Amino acid sequence: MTKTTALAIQIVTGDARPIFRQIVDGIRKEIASGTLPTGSKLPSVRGLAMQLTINANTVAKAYNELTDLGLVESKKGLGLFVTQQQCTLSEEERTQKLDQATDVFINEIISLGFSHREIIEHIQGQLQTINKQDKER
Amino acid sequence: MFDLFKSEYQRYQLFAWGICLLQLVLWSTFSKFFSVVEPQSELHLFIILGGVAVGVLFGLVSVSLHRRKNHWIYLMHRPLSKGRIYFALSLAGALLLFIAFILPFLVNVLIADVTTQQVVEARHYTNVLHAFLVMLCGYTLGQFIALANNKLAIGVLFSLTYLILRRQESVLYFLLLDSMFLLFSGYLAYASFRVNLAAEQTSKRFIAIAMLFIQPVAVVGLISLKAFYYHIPLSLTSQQYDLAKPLHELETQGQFDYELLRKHTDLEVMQWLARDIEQPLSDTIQRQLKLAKTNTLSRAHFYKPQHKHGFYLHTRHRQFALETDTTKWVFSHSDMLFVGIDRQTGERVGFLGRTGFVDQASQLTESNKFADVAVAIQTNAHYVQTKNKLYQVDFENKRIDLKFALTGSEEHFTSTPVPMFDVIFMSSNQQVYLFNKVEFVDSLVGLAPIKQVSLDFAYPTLPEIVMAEVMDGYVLMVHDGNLFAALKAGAKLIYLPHEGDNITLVSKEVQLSALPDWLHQQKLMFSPLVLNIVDNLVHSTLMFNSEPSRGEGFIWQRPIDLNFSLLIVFCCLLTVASIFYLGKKAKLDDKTHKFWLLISLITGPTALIAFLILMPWPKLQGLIKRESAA
Amino acid sequence: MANYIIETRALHKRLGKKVAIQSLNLKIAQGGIHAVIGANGAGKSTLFRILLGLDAPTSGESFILGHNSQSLEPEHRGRIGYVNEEHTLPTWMKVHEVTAMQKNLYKNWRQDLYDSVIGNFKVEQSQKVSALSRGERAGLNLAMALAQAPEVLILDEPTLGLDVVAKQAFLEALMFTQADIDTTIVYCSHQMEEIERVAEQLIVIENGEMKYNECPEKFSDMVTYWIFDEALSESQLSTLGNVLSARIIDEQTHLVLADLEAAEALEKLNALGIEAATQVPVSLDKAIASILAKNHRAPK
Repeated sequence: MTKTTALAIQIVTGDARPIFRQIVDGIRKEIASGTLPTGSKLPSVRGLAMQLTINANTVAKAYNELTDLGLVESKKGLGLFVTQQQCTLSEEERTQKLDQATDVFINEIISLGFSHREIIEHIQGQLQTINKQDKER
Repeated sequence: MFDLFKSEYQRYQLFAWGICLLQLVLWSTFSKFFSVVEPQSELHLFIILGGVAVGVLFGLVSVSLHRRKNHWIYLMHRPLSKGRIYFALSLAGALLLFIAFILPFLVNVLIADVTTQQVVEARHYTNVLHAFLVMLCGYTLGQFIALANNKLAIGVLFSLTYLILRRQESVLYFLLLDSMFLLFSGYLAYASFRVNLAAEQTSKRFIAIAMLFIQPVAVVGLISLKAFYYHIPLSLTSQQYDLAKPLHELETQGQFDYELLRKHTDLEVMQWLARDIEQPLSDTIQRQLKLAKTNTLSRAHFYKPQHKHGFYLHTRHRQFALETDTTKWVFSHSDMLFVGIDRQTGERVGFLGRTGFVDQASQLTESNKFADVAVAIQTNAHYVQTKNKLYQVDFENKRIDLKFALTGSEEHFTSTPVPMFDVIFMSSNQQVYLFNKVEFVDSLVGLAPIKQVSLDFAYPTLPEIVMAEVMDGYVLMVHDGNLFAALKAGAKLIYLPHEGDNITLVSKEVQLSALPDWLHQQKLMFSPLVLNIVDNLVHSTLMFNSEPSRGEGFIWQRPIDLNFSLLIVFCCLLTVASIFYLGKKAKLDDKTHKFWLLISLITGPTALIAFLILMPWPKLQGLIKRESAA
Repeated sequence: MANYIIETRALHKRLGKKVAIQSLNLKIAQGGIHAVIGANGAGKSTLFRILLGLDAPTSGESFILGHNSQSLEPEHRGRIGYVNEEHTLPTWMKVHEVTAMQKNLYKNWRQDLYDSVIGNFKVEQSQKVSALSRGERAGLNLAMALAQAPEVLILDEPTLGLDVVAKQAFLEALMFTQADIDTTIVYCSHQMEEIERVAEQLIVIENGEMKYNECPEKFSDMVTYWIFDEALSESQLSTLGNVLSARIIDEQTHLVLADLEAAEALEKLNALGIEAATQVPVSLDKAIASILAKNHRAPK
């Protein structure tokens, strides 16, 4: 029997995002950052609801959304598991997304007065840190 | 259902048992002065009234506690029918009342019965049952008032006065009355138990029964208005009777009211009557009356035949308590003879029956029993009086002899022997008897009256009887509000000369009231059918009458003026019109509205009062607001 | 009708001069936890009283479990649970006595549910109810209400006056038992924190009318908050549809709009000549507060 992987997500009441969305976003982040590797078992609907003290149906909804997004899959009788993260985007879509994110990034930092070199070094440093964390898992 | 019963019982059980214990302690401490087994009539009344008050208060309080918004939801929103909820609560209430007030009563009677030689019989126990039933009647009315939306409903309490009767009747009569009352009041309370308390009562049965209970207070309320539009203005304009004026003057001025007779002395009344005597006696009687002394048969000497199965009521005539020895002789209803009990030892020492004294109970036979319940008359001699026989008892020589017996088939005594002037006076419902004083006390054989007067009343009522001693004999005056028939007042003067036959001097019909019918007979006007029927069946208690019953007769027994009957009809129609109008304004549903109209046609003006009482306040306020706004 | 566990049709209730409920057409489907929100005096308690048959509407009808509220039989009442903030219980009885009384009344009593819920609260079975704290009494009331295994359970501000610990215990017990017995729960509260955690469906009642019946996510999407420099006239505002509030703060217009998705709203603002409008994120409680505050006075 596979052990359930602990889910370290937070939900906050009074946030601009509804709880349902907070759960979805939280789990997505965990998956994206590698905290929830492929094949790890998510807590049961009831279990997560108890952990977060929220309505189980809200958790169920969030899990359904995640399943629809293809991020998790349900294995009969065993539970919900993180799927292999496949790149479902085409080459064009990928480039477009990178362009968009870069635009936003540049807009943000352009006024700060860093040199191009400094900016690139900083980015590299951040990427290395993420890799390290990944390897440590 | 049992759980709810238990829960309600638990709620007040400490109170109930506490009060029970307190009462037991009180009764045992004060048993020397007050006997709860044989209460004096004032104490008895106090016990009954107190019981009723407690019942009402408890019903009111216990249901009001449940009536609070959230408590009502808690009580009624459960898978239990409202009938069961009601019965669970009420049975618990009945049990608690029993424990708190009836149990001490019962225990005392039991102890007296079992541990002492006192005469304790079924009558004493039925007293306890009566007290319990009356308490429950109060309790259910209290419940009803607590649930009523219009707090004016408290007026139904007035109907409890019908249960505080002191008539001399069989206990079955009282228990039947109590039970019927309880049936109806219980129904009222049960029907008030509805999930939505704000909802109006549309049940016809409910309206009809509530009407019954509101009749007494509605009538009394309407009658008391008389004080405002008649009596007070009258006293302000000083047009009241001038009592200084002699009766004949008041009569000629048309201000005669039968009640005036009571405001004048007996002699004045006799003298006034004497003016109507025909010659040749007129002058002599009038002259003799000027110096005569009068003697009235007072209430203290009234006698009513005691019921074998009547309630226990302590009277002076219940027992012989002799000064010469320590025995007291108490009449036992179950054995129908007197039981002698030694006051010091409490032991039974003998029996006094119809045929004589007996020492042992084993020696008693049927012949010893008195035919009817007897009372003890203790003056300078001792007598036993039953319904129609008078016996003289000699305790020293242990003798009892029949002294005098009534002969009329439906005749019964209405007074005990009363010394008047130099005769002994006794009245029955048909005759007045005068006996020789010496013969009365000393004779050991039958007694014959020296004078006998027939009082032929048209209507069963005990009139005022006054005797005056004149030179040549006696003059007897009789007067009553119903002397000649129901509501036909009159007075008679009868001359009883020492030598010769009796002569009826005057037989005069007088005006019952100077007031017009619509002022005088308001009870009839305001509730022509309902209250009059109930009142006369149960005999008027509205004025807290005790004995003898002074019923005014059912409608068909009374003389009613045509004009007055038209007025009664008019009042009914006016009520119908008012209720029609008010009902339309309050947007009452059709069926209920029609039923109210029917009721008002039958019951008359009291229906309007009941309508206002049974309508919930918000609607009433809405009516009034709309009126004032419009 | 069989589909809705609670339904009202043109329900109208007047209390004296005030109209407590106005042409309410409420439909609550079976299953899940439905939160009912409204300002005080919005008629929520009156609504529940009418639903339970304790009061009659001025006009219109209400149905619960498919039966008309005004003619509920005892057996129907056995399937409807009701808890309110007073947590009325017989104070003179002991806990186990009160529980036994409930047990005998309800045929479908689930002792296991009672045990699990009451376990969250420090309640001794031998204690007298009067000795319990407010939170403990609430827990006992909830335990008994849930153990009844009702088909529908109405809770009217049940956590009012409860401390943090008791509140937490209450909510947990409620949510996790509900899943077990598939009871439809109607939860009425002012506490947005609770509502957010507990609700799958939000019903907003304002001025006696049902304004919204949506899931929480849709709610937040439906209310948008905009800040821009331009001032708008009355006629311009009216083109924007449902304006919840419009205020001038620091010479800027703060506008709260409802029933418009963000993109649509932006289009409309642009159409009015507003080039740059900043959208401020709106949390659920803020969205609801704005909706409820619409007809209330705002500082000028």
